[in-house]
Order: sequence, then structure tokens, then C-alpha cells
Amino acid sequence: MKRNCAVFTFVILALIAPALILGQTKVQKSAPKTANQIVGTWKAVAITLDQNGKKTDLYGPNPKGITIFTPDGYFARVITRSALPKFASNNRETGTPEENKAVVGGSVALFGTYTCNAADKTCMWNVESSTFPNWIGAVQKRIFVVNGDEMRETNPTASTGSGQSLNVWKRVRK
Amino acid sequence: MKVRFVGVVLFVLAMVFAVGANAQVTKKQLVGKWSVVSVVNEQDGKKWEPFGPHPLGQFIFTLDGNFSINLDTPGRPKFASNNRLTGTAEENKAAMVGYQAQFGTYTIGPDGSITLHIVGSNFPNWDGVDLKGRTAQVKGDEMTWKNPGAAVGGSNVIMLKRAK
Repeated sequence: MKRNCAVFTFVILALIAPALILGQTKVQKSAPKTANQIVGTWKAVAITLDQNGKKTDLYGPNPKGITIFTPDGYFARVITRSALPKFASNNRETGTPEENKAVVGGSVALFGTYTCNAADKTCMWNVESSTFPNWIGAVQKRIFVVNGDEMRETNPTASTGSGQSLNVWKRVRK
Repeated sequence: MKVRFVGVVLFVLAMVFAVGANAQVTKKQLVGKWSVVSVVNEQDGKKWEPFGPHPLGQFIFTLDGNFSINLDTPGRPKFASNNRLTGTAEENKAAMVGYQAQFGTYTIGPDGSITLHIVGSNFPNWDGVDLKGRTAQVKGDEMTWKNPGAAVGGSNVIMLKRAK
């Protein structure tokens, strides 16, 4: 009698176990399709505008920023100055011209898809949308060099219309 | 004796199915890249689309606990100067009102609600703030995202589709 019960329990567990293991395997299978050094989450360290050798911090000192490259070819980026002035109205739709200018001049956001060429370390960004409307629909060339947890980026077409931006990113570890 | 064993087995089965059938979103469901299909705001019983009828948007939730949210209203005019720093008052206002960007880390509470810990955004009043009470429901490749405290007032319901 006792043995029958033990066998019954074993059979039930044997039925459940594969389902649990399969669930795990499915998660592992969704891991990187295109193994790539830039895939992951990156935090801004320095965003520098270089105009004919004259260098400035494009978003002031200690910029805040994130760049995410998903393994399936999507990217997102948001960069802001470390401290943008708050809106007196506490309503993002009713900023004063000065408040709006401070945000638009002090931040950028964009997202879209990317493809990379491993041979010359260049990537192409297909910008689906951006806070800076002149970038919407643009195809931008970007150069990424990854060294350990550091990624150096060159953007030959900065959002300032002239000059290039030289950016340093640090990989976010869990 | 047999009854007790059967009872234990039934309990184990019930636990397994309870976890599977739970409507609360799990991190596993949330992680990935989502395209925005629609954004509907409801305020005092009135519904409208704050990002227009064809919003452009993307949500990413990473396994390492970070997120980014971008929402845009298509059709904004380009900056005449081609320089982000020298937009006119109208161009800046359109960029400000038409586009919402935020990033930071996210956590899922025991009740299944999502808190966004904002590190940076294009609305400075949110910086460093915990935006609480978001909920998400995932069915197949569709996600319904609800925000009871939308930036424009009222509540937002955002429909999203998982990127393939």
C-alpha cells in the first residue's frame, strides 16, 4: 500500500518535472541570436562634443544616460543633463519657453533598430523616432569600440548640426 | 495513508497550476522590447489619444532590471536650424509636449504592480521619483499597460506588441 502511494507520487512528479525543465530551456533559447559585444545596457560616463578640436561636455558634467542594445536588433537611448530645472507648473505640457528650451537643449532620446559590421566596428542606426525631430527616419553611422566594460562611441553626425560627439559608456552589470 | 499521499500530490499540482494561471505579470513576461500600438488617456470619463492616433513608441525591460520608455507623436516639424540647441520656442514646445522619454530601473511588487525608479527623463519633475502603481498584463505577444497617474492627468491605457 505504502509502496503504491510512493510510485503514484513519483509518476506525478515525473510528469511535472519535464514541464518545468522545458520552461527553463525556453528562456535560455531566447538568449542572444546575434552574439555581439555591444548587446546589453550601458550607462553614460562622458558625452563630449568635438568641434574642430574644441571639446565641450554636450550635456554638462556628469550626464545621465542609458543606451540599450537588445540581442534582436533594437536600441534605445536617453541622455539628459545631470540636473534639469523642474517645471514650476508640474505639468510637462505647460512649460515656459525657458523650461522647454532647457529640456530640449539638455536632453536627447531616440530609439529604433541597429545593424553592425564587425569588420570595421561600425553600426548603422535606423532612427524610428527621437526628441530631436531632424533625426526621425535618419540612418546614422556610429562607431563602437568595446574594451572590457567600457564602450567608446563616435557619432560623426551630432545633434548640434556640426561637429562629432565622442561618448564613453560603462556596461551595467546586474 | 493513501488518502494523505493523494492529498499531498493534489496540493503540489494545485500550487503548480496556481503559479501558471496567475494574472500578475512576471519579470520573465516583461523582459524584452515592446512596440507601442495605442495610448488612450481617460479623464473625467472622456477618452483621447495624447500621442495622436498613430503613436510611435518603444518600451524595453532588461533582465538586469533597467528600462527605457519612449513615446512620440508623429508629424512634428524638423528644427529649421538643424541644431537641437537652437530650436524656436514652438519647435521646443512641440518636442517637449510631443515626446516622452524616461529611463531607470524597475521592480515588480508582491501585488504585481510595477514601480519605475526614474533616473532620467525629459520631464525634470520626475527625476529621482518612484512612479508607482503601473500594472501590466501580458497575453501572448500583447501587453496592456495601465498607468493610473498619467503625466497629463487621468489614467493611461497603453497597448503594446512584443517585438519578434
